[in-house]
Amino acid sequence: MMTVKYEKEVMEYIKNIFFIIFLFMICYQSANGQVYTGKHPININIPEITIVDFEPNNLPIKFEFEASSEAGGIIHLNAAQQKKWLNYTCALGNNATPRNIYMQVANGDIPEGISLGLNIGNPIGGKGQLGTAVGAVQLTEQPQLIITGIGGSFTGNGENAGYPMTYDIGISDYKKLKAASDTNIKIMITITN
Amino acid sequence: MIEKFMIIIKWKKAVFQRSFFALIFNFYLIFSLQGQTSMSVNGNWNYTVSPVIEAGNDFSLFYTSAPDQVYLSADKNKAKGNFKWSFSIHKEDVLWDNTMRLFVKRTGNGTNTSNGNGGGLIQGGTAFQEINNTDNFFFSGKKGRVDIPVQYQIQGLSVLIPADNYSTNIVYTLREE
Repeated sequence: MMTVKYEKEVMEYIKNIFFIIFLFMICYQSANGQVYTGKHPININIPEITIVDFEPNNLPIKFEFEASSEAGGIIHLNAAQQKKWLNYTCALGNNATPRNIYMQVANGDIPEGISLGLNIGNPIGGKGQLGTAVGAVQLTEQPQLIITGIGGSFTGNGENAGYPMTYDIGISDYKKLKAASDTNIKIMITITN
Repeated sequence: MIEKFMIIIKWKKAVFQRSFFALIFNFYLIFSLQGQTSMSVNGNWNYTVSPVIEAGNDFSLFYTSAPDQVYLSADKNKAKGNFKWSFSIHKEDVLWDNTMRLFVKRTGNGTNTSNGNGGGLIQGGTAFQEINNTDNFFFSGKKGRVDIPVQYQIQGLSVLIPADNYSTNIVYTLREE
């Protein structure tokens, strides 16, 4: 009888110990397993960019007329056509107006009786909204639209990338031709919105 | 002998029956031993993309921040216990273009705050990993550690992405294990 009574109390004692251990574990779990958060911003600014150049270089193109060695013969050109490549990079905002490219004679006069044309071919390589070439134009002192509708795009860099631009010089009026030493003409390119 | 044991049991029983007080005592004991955990994220990254130098080119393939662009800390004011923790990371976009990809890596071990009590440990996160919009494990450690340097890298920038000020929040989550 005595043993039964003791067993009951021992069992109750053990149950209490387990209960305390259980509480201890709950407390331990609540003290651990915590989650904390912290944050900070990253801001990336992509600016609007427009940059353009000619390839393979900006060196002058030289056209040279030679008189015929035979009376009555035509005047010869050493090279009537010479090519440059127009490269550009353009980054625009969402609501930005597409860009256009103009070219004009900026400095110096085209000799009388001479015509200076420019033929812009389709772009080679590149990505994005590369725009549209207008084809052939005659260069004058007034800005001539040569490429329209340029959006975010890049043509690729170097020769054989971007827009091929062929300068085409010719004699438009023999009557107005005059002998002259070197005549320098600067061509200016402008990108506008 | 049995009688003596039973007297002790009866005394204990009286104590155990006050389970409420035992619970309070447990909380006090645990929290006082564990101490207060803290985390911090110091710094940010504001970057204006470097202009294209050569016409015809796109932006560079990637841009990288300073090696210590941001400092992280995981600490406990009484870190004598077995303080195990891990950092996870994700981003919450404010204005973002999905072609831009962010990467992060840990560039140093920071400073151990356990003062030689058990040495501590820090592991993982030393190679660039992409930060997604869902939480991903970054690195883990034991014992308190402060001033852990973190570096970012952005890839996929292009002039084809509309020019704008893009922003995202980098969220670090410290989990105490």
